[in-house]
Amino acid sequence: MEQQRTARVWGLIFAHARADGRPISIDTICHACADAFGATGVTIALTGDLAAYEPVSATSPAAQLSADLQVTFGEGPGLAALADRRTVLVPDLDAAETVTRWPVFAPAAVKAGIRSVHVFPLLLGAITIGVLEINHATSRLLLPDEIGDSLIFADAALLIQTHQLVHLGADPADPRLGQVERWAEVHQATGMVAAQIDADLTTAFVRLRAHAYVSGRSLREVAHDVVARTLRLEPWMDNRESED
Amino acid sequence: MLYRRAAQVFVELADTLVAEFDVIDFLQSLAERAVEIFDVDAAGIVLADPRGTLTLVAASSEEVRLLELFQLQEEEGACFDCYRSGTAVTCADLSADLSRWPMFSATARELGFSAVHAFPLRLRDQVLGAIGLFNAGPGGLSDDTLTVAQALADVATIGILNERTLREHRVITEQLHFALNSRVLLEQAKGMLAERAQIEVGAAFAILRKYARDHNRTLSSVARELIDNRGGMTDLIAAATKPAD
Repeated sequence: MEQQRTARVWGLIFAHARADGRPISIDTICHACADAFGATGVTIALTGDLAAYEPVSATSPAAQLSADLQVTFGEGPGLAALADRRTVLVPDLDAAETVTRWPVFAPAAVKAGIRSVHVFPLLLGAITIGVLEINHATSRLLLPDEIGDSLIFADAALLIQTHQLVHLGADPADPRLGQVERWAEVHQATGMVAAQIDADLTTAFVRLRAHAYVSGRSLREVAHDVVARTLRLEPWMDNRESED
Repeated sequence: MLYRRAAQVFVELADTLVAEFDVIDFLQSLAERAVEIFDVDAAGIVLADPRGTLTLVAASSEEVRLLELFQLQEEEGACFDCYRSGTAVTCADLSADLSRWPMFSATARELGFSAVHAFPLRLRDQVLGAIGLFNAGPGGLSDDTLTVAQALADVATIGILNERTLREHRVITEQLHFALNSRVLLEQAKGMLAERAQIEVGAAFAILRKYARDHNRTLSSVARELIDNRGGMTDLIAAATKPAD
């Protein structure tokens, strides 16, 4: 049924990367997403140590401007989605309620040629690393199917940003690809590793995945060992992990 | 008797819809109450993620094997069939037809379950997930029970969709995504508590829940604080470390 959705979205991302002749990056995901939705522009902004909202990729001048406006004025749907850690769907930036909510950003974005914005946080439980913003020149609300696809694009951005190593030779239908893990043990292990290495969850998740990759095992197997306490990850500086 | 128990639970659940609402708390209460109302041995709620795969969001017990049994149903089983068809699926005796769900039936029977029933979480023509009921002894459900179980599934649907829909432009897919993500956050918090207190992950849930209850807070807010405040929440860690009486 909808199992194909992940494969289809990753297929679009792969096609872009192949056409560019470059590995999949945040830029690739933005462009593939813009094409998929016929968007005026797509932006990805990440939360960093220096700024809570840092645009790192924009597919068009309008998209770049929308992000810059939010940085400048400190308000807007991207910032709201980050604060709430939740999807923000704005079908009409010119609607009275929207202008009330973002009195500076909304009129400026409309002037820049953007009429609707859909923002999807790059989210995995408590991990929030940024937002995916899809801009349209017309007033519209994405269809449920499009929202499903958007969530997968956001998942893809999260995985790429947390150093998922995706080979272009991989099959987009490979169920291991692009899957933000549903298995509870992976999330439990992420929490355990965060406590073990005294780091935030994002770092712990990256470490867990790196360990799986380096040891040539699946994330789920590694997570299982962490939860069973046969594997512990040590704090940074020392890459050796103890196993018994 | 069934109706009286059910009515009481519905009123309680309705109460939680107004105060500070936490979808995970709500579904968790619902799963626990389902066990009491229907006098079954286990209950759980699975939701479909944007990809259409089923993931467990709440279960009457955090017993690891039970959670695995629900997770197994992303491929086959009563909840899976129920989700696909949008109609109730019941199996009074798993041993009577082993070919129906070979993997699921084997695991369920290993865990000591003989009967399983699943009811769809449905909104008009869309199916959001399913609630599954497990029984140790074989046997079907009465017509009354079927009616009340579907009503409980409908209450679950309302809980998932109701939250904040009035304030923002929400669509079902997004609501489901939010509920599922809340469960992921809870799993991360369980892992963190287990490591900090050096207890089993399976034991962490009950401690988080009790702490939330004792402090009149939602499960999600306690989980969130534990994750955000890495060195803090020492009272929760102390409570977890203390041997059970």
